[in-house]
Amino acid sequence: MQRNFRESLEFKYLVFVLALFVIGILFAVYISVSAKQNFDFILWTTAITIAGIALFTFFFWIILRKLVFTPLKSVESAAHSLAEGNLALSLDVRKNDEIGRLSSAIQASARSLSGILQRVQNGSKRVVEVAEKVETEFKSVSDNTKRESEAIANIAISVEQMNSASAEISDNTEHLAVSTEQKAASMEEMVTSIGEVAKSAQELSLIIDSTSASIEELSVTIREVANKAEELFASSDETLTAAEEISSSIKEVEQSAKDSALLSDKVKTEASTIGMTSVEKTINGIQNIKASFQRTAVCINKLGTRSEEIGKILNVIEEITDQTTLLALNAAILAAQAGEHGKGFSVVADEIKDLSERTAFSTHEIAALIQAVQQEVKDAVVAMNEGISLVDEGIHVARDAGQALHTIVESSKQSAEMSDAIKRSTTDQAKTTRLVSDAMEKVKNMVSQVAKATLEQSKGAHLITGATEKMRDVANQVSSATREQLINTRQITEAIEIVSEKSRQIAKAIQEQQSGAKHVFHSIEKIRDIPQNTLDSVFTINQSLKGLFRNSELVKRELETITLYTHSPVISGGSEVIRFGIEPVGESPLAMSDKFTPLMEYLNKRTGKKFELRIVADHEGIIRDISQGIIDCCFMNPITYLKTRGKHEIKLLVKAMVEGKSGYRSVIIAKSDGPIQTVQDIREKRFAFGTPHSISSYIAPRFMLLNAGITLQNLVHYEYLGPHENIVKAVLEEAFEAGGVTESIAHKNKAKGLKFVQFSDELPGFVIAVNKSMPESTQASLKQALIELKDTTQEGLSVLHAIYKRYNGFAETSDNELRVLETMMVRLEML
Amino acid sequence: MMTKNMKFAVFTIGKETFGIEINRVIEILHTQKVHTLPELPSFLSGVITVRGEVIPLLDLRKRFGISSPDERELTIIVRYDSEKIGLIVDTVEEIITLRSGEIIDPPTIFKGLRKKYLTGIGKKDDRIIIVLNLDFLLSSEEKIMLKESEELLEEHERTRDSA
Repeated sequence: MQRNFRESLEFKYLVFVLALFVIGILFAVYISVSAKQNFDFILWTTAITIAGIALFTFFFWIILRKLVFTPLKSVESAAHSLAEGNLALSLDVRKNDEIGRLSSAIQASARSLSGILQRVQNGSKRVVEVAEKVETEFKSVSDNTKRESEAIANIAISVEQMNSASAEISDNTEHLAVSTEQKAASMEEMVTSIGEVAKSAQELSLIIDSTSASIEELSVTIREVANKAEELFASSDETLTAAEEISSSIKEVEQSAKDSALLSDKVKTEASTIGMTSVEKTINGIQNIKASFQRTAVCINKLGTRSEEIGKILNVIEEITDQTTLLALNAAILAAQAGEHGKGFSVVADEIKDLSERTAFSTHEIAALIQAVQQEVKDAVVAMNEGISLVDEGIHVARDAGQALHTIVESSKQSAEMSDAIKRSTTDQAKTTRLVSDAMEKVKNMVSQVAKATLEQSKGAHLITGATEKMRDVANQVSSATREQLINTRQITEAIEIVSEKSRQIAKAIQEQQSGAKHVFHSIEKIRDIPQNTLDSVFTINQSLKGLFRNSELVKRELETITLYTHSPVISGGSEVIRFGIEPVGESPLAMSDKFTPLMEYLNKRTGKKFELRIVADHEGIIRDISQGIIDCCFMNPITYLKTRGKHEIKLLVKAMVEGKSGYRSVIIAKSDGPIQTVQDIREKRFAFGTPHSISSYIAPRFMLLNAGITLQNLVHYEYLGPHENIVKAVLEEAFEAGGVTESIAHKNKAKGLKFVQFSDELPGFVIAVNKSMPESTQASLKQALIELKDTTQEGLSVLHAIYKRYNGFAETSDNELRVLETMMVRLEML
Repeated sequence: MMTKNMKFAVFTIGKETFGIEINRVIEILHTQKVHTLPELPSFLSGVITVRGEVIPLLDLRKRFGISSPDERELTIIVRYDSEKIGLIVDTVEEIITLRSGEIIDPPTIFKGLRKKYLTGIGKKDDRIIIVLNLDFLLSSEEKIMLKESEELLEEHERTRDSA
């Protein structure tokens, strides 16, 4: 400090003043000497001058010190402390002169530097945290891999054990096969010996059989003779009966021949006498009828002619009547023309007219009657003619009858003759039949004697046959027993062969199994290497993590040496910078920066304040940056808002509108032809989520599952697949039975085969919130600028679409609108 | 003009009944053999000869355009100016007397007949009798033609007689 003082401005000023002082004294002395005053006067003048200058210089110094040196010193010391890494300066910035402005600039730059460093610090803290987390994760991975490795080793051991066991089995089976084969061989020997026994028994049986057969043949022959004799007897008996029957029938024939001869005679007589006479009489009668018919017809025809004549006469009468009528009419006309004189004449004319009219009427009636008569005559003529033709037919028939009678007489004569002939021949026949009958009687007697003898012979043969049969039965029994024995033995042999074959197959299978097991063993050996490799890589990663961790710590340590300006909140006012935080939505911070830059430019223009983008790595970064006052307002997920609200004073400003709506829904999707019908069906199934920090792909689906009584423990498997499209794909590919996505994605992919199992309640979209420390007026102007931003203007459209194509504005909102989400998060224990 | 009681010869054509003043009627005849002459005007059906006198025929059925199913046919010879003309009708029924009260003026057209043909409509008991005005039965032109044909016929007659 002492050394520095000589180089300080203050020291230079003091030297300058001292120089001025000396020059002033010299000047005063010079003036006094040149004025040739007395010494006293010179002394006084000099003294007064010196005192005046000294006084002036002193006051000037005081002023300078106050205005320049002290502030400069504090700036200097601030710069010093800045150099030492202490950014928490407090400079007097009340004055607005150059030094004051310098101070506030230094202070501002220190603060912004402080802000940046704070964010760096936060970043490095986050890195450390992440690294720690990763380390823990890797530890568990490493542990798991170790365990896996052990498990594989165990498997390998058990495979080996299995292998040796199957080898044993294989050995045993082979032994079994060998012993079975041996057994089979001895069995075969036995079979051969039994076969031999069977063969000799069969031969014996054959011999007995042939004996038996010849005896039987003998017996059969005897029986045949007996049968033949019986047959002969029966046939002779039958012949006899037949002869008798013939005899009796011949008698009947004779009798009927006699009867028919008689009948024929009778017929002949009757036909020739009575029959012919009556036929002739009939013919005569009919002919008489015909004649009378013909006469009647002539009469009727005459009648017809007469009536025609009457008709002609009637025509004449009609004509006359007509004429009379006309005359009467003309007379009446004349009478009328004559007036009074013609009156009498007129009466007569009228009467004539009446008469002629009546005549005309009667004539008409008669004409009708005559016509009827003529018709009837015509009918009668027709009937007559029909009668005549019928009579003619009658004559024909009678003549035919006569002819027939003649024929009958003839045939009767013939049949009588025939009957006579029959009578004669039957008498001869009867005689012959009697002769036959007698001869047959003799044959019958002879045959019965033969039959008796044969019967006795047959009895003897029967006895022999019985004895032989018994012998044959015994032989057969021996033979069949031996055969059965042989069959059984063969079956045993076959069974043994089958057993032997089976054991061979088993042995082969076991051998195959063994080789398979060896393969498995080899594969397991190989697999065993994999976890080892994994372990190695885990170790490597761990190493690098540790390096990272150490580096982060170093950074942290470095940063700790810097005293940061942490006096929050930053008072924003006038042209103060407002830091606008952005929560990244699945994109890189740089992309987010591009998207939001137009909004910042718009806000700058509208509010006259300076907005600066602060992109944050994740929602945890948002929460921390807000609580530390590093950002003043933020575009964020409502989840982040709710989480922040519990830790820091924060206030909702607006919500983003998507196509005119602030909310949207989440939907649980499943494959349309899959087994899931209701949310309940998802129990013990696989479920795909998006990310744990997503409303529509995590919170809402989990809440719906929970309402159906399904917790994460009730799912067979669940996973975070990130983008919603991945969830759709996984569900369609049946990697998961169901998943939760936002409804726009669900609708877009529905046609690919999705089914909507359940929709959630309306969910809130992104919001913009401010730090409560922001002055009310700034909040109000920010809010107004945001609400007035509409896609109906060209500017608004470009600003909003830069952020998200479907955004079309911002609208006022309040905590109440997040109540649904809050409830869900509380239920899921996320708050 | 009319006397209290007038007498009419009543005839029929088809279903219609007509009357002609009795004083105009000369005679009622059965239709006779009709001669056709090439010189005759078309409205005449032909001529008949009654007691040596040639009389032209006018078929009223054709003139009034009434088709008649009746097979019967009569000719009424009437006076026409100084000439005679035969009217062919279905039947002539009787002579009736109509009082002037029983005849009413005809309407403009009655059953398709023009008023000029009619003197009036007579009502007797249930019957309606169309009273014909014979003078207007032929147009003036036809009347001339009729006269000419009368002359023609007389000529015919004379030539035939001389022959």
